[in-house]
Amino acid sequence: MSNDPPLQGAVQTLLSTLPGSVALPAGAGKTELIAAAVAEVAAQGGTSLVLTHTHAGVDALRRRMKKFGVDHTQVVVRTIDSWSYNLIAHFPSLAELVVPAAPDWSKVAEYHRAAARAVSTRAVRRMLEVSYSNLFIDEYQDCLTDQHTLALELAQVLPTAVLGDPLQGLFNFGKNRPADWSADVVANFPAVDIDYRPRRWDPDHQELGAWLVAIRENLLNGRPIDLTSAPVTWVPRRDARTFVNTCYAALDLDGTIAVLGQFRPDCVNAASSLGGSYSVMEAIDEKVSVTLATRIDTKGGAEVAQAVVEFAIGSTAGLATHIPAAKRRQLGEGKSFVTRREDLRPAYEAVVQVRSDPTPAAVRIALDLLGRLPGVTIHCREAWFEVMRSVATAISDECTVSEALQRTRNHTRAAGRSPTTRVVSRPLLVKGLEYDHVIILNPVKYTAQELYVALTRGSKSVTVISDTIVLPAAHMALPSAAAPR
Amino acid sequence: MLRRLRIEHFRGIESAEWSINRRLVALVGAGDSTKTTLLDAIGLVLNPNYNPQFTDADFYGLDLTRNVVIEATVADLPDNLVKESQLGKDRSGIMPDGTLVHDPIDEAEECLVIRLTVTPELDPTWEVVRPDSDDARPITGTQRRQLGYFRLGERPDLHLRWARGSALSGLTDGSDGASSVILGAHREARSAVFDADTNPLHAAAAAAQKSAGYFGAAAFVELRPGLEPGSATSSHALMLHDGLVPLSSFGLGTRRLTSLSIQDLAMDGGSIIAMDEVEHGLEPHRLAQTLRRLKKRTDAGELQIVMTTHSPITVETLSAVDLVVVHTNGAGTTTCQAVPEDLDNVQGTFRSAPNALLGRRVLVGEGATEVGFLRGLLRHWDTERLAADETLAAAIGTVLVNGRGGTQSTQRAKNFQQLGYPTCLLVDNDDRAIDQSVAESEAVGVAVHRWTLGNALEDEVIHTLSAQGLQAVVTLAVDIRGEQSIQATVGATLGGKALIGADVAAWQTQADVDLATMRTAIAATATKKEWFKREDHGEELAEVVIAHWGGLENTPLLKVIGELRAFAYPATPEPSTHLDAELKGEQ
Repeated sequence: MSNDPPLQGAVQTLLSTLPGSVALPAGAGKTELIAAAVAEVAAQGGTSLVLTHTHAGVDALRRRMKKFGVDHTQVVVRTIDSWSYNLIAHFPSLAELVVPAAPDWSKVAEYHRAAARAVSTRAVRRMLEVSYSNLFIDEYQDCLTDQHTLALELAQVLPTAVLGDPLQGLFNFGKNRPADWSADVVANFPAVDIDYRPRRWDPDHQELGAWLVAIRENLLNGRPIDLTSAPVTWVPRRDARTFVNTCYAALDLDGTIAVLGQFRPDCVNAASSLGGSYSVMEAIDEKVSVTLATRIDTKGGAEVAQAVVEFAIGSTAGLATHIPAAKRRQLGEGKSFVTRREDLRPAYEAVVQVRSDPTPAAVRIALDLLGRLPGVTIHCREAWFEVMRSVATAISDECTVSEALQRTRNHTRAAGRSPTTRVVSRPLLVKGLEYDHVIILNPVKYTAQELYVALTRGSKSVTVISDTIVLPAAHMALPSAAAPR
Repeated sequence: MLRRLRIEHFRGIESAEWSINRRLVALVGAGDSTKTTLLDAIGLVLNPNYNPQFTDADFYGLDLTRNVVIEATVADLPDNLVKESQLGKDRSGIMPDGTLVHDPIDEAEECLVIRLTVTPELDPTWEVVRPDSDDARPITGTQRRQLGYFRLGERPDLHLRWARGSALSGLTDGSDGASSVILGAHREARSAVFDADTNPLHAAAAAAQKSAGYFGAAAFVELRPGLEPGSATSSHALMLHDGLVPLSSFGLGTRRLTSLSIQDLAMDGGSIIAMDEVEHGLEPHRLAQTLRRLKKRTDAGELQIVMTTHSPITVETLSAVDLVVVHTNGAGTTTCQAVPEDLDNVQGTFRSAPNALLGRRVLVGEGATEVGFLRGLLRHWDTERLAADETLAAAIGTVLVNGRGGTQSTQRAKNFQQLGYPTCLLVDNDDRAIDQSVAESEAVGVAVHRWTLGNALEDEVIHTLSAQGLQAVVTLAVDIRGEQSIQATVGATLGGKALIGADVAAWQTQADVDLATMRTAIAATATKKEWFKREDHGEELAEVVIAHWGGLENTPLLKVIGELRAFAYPATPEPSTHLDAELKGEQ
């Protein structure tokens, strides 16, 4: 692979024009290009710092470095967030910020600004100069302005290449604006043109790969996408439950499957309709678990018991019939909460126990029994196990469930989530991941970027369920529009 | 470059803090002032090869309830240590005034604070720590090695050999050069033994073969003497020779100096070099040459040398600012006082009295007369104390310094006091021009002793002694200057009186003056004509005073002399550091 002539050419082009930016479509070998460039730098005796956004990205890059035989002393791969935190934790005066012993990721934007300050000092510059000969930043379309500021400081010291795809820029609306590719990125990191080929679909699905490159122009320009002659399966959407048959049928396919919705509630509904055969992927900062943890820590028995039951019902299929709405109301009002069914009784009693003594230990027993009731399947497995694990940690470490949850999540960030063969997810969460098959549920409300990310996740097949065979024009979500405050 | 050293509970040092800002540092101070302990401490905290074996004796006062802590702050860090994967994020800062700050801020110099801790279980750990925080991370031997610490002149003979780990081996290209030479030599020796003419060894071998035959041991063809083949023969025996003479036969000084030069050559990159007793085995001219060479190397900015010395020649050869005065207060506190660059005329002080820096208490005489006078007194007192089995001035560390007159003497006294030496100054009281500078030296703590207002030493003596004593003074002056000179000058002072002989009573009659007038005239002449202005003459004057001081106990003369004695032989004995010395002896 490392002797692939076009790749070597691309590496030479990139390394000879730094600082620079490379925009490459999905599946066009961006990770491969970075690894090859790092290998070339290593061959010249240099050491590279490679920064990206997610731990999954770090894993992917590290594996690729290994494939290219890059010695571990000649490359450091980190997320921008953890690299920044680690730097400023060592240098509070240089960063002008004191951080806690465990990172508080809700303040990550501050961390980036602090890291930028630290990088502008003499001592850190020297450290960077003697440590690294090159800097590569991956998934640059996801860089928020504070991260971009940090990148600009780093680029003062190290020859820097940034790589990404503006068409894959997905973001949560928040205080922090992403860097604008044409205004912010290319102005500081001149565009470097690299020849590319959509390698992800080699060798059996080249037609799909070519089509996905061809539609970029339409997406970038807000034009409709016609699926009539596209190498994707189109399923007309007859009603809100059309997807159920499609998804059940897909269970016969080999390999991994992602069913893509748009927001968490429609994903949870879909997973519920599919009876637990698909699991809901959660955002790493999903609020549902946080809300439950806070209630367990701070509220009285009735409220905790009610919150536990609501969480259990929301995360499973089949539980609501065991605990009808009337019973749930009684639970909240402190009235009697009993069942005549023998098989349900232990779970009911455990919930009552939570109401009279809302400790993490009681919550743990209640959730455990609720999850194992007959006919109940858990489809929000990530949220469920995250909560179970945090409650267990709170018991063993004698901390609050909220603290335990933060630790659990920091661990997940570092270790990555356990892979799941069949998931219901959203473009935002599957970006950078790859599945064999993708089923897209009613993409009409997607932005152009979401649609592009969704279409490019499947390496073997893509199925689109929509009202019409021509997908209406999706608008490009612009960074400026994403800055409401 | 070593910028700071902090010690707790190590050997003779309960606590020491030393801030360093120069590349050439010579530690001076009296014996047992813990100079070598400082050097050893630097070696332990920085040296990766030391593989130190600690003993209970390394704990201050053998107190095993506390850890030994040695903390070295090193600046000028090599690139490799500054890497993010190494210790780049563990750097602290050291401000121009020597204080440490947690981060290497732009106003500070970046540094690593390396701490060696030895627990009472004798387990050493090396860590990089940060000021004002609990941050600590281990530093490996490989990382410490990169700080470039060497102890020069140590095991001198090792570095004159192609032995494992010697500087000479380091200078030799290729790792097996020495062993192949040894192997070749060994093979030749083996053939030489086989080829040797028949000798008594052959007869013994033949006898052994015959006996072996009787026992049926084996059917040998020919038993004969031979050298056993060596495989990995040590190259330790391969040594530098001058002509046919091995360097091991040369004097200690030559071996040390040659070893030092080889070590210097074998070093690459910035280094911190320690040398104990730089003068050891060297004559003055070679010592001075060595120091000049080292000074040149440090001025070039690539290395730092920390040495101890007991040699006045070192003190004279180096600049005053290269010197650091080490004191121990006897209760475990060691202070390291660098000679400040702005200390007035300190260079002259050291050049003139290099010995004083190696003592404990400094007695400054204003000029030659005072120094001689004081020497005479000390000799007398030493004789008395020897008889009483008491410590002598030299053992106490009381050192005499010639102040070279007037304000120079107050300046010198001030210099020594400011460097931490208890200092006493004996100065005349007949020159109002120096009152101001006398007051200044008193203000910094010098114990100043002066005669009665208006008097020089000669005045005080001549006015105080009995008539008999006065006669002895005149007799001494006659011995020094000759009778005619004394007669003529005293006569002139009396207004042109002609004096005959050398008898003071007779002079009184001849000049027709009373004893008081005669004393005044003799004193004035003695001062003006500088009868005793040489150290040996001052010493003789002291002998006269000593011979005649009976009955004068309550005079100002004896009062001052008593104070000088109290300073020279302090009533509280200097704290004993014998324990320290003994422990060193055991190692």
